[in-house]
Amino acid sequence: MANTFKVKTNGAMPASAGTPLTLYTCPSSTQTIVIGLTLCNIHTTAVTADVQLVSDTSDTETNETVLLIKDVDIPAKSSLEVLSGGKYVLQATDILKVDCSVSAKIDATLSILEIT
Amino acid sequence: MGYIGKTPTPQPLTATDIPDLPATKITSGTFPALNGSNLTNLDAADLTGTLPAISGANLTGVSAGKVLQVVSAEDSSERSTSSSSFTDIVSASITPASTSNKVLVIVGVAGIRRDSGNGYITAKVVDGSGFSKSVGHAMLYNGSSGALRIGSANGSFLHTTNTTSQKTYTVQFNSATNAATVIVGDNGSSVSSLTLMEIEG
Repeated sequence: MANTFKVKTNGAMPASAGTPLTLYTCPSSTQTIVIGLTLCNIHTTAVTADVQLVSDTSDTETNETVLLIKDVDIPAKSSLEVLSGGKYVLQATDILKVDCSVSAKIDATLSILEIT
Repeated sequence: MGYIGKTPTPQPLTATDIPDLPATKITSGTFPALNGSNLTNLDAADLTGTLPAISGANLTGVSAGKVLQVVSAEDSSERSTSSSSFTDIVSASITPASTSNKVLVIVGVAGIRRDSGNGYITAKVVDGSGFSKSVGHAMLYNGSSGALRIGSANGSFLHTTNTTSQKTYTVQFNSATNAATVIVGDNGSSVSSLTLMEIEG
């Protein structure tokens, strides 16, 4: 079992406001611990952001696609640390997506630990 | 979550955020200004207290007959004449607000006395512009030459002025036949009066 720390970045997300854009997809045969997720507003005015966890993995229950944050304000010249103390676990094929009220105005930085 | 840079401005609460707030919790603060349209279910029994002072100008829904102003004057001087020329007793001035308004003239000539001879006393009201209205004509006959007191002569009439200029009304009297000395304001203890009321037309 290997543990690999990684950082995933995506500049100017999403391509279209209202359409969440994939930031990270958990590979097959992998479990991922999300250590940190920072959304930086690169717009000149405030925007709102969503972070979505897409999951349909199943064991005793079947997961559903959920929002981690929804329409959270991010003032201009500011960043939002989505995780404050908590951690997320992603299973194979789970996806993290980011949306913004204005297209291409969020820089996202995702720190993870992949366990394979 | 934490912010790097600025934290979003907190959103103010609205009434929908506090749907179950009991009235007992509202113990201080200032209500916004209210007007009559906010008081949609006010019961008449709740209207207690003292009304504010009002003037005729507040009675805007009264179409006619409203008293717009009142002017009065009094005189208690003893005046006498044995001439048929008229002598002034008391004057008062009023300025109508509209040509359609009228002036209610109320006259009281008090303390009428005859000192010698038999004759008549006439009292009238003039306005200095040709208007004249007789308001008293008293016969002072008793067959003797001593003092004869008959009390007072009173009258009232409605004058259509057709003007918005100041009107000065004067009460006058005379000895109608030049045959008697007649007095008003007997002994200075009787008060003659002139009251003018402007009535909206």
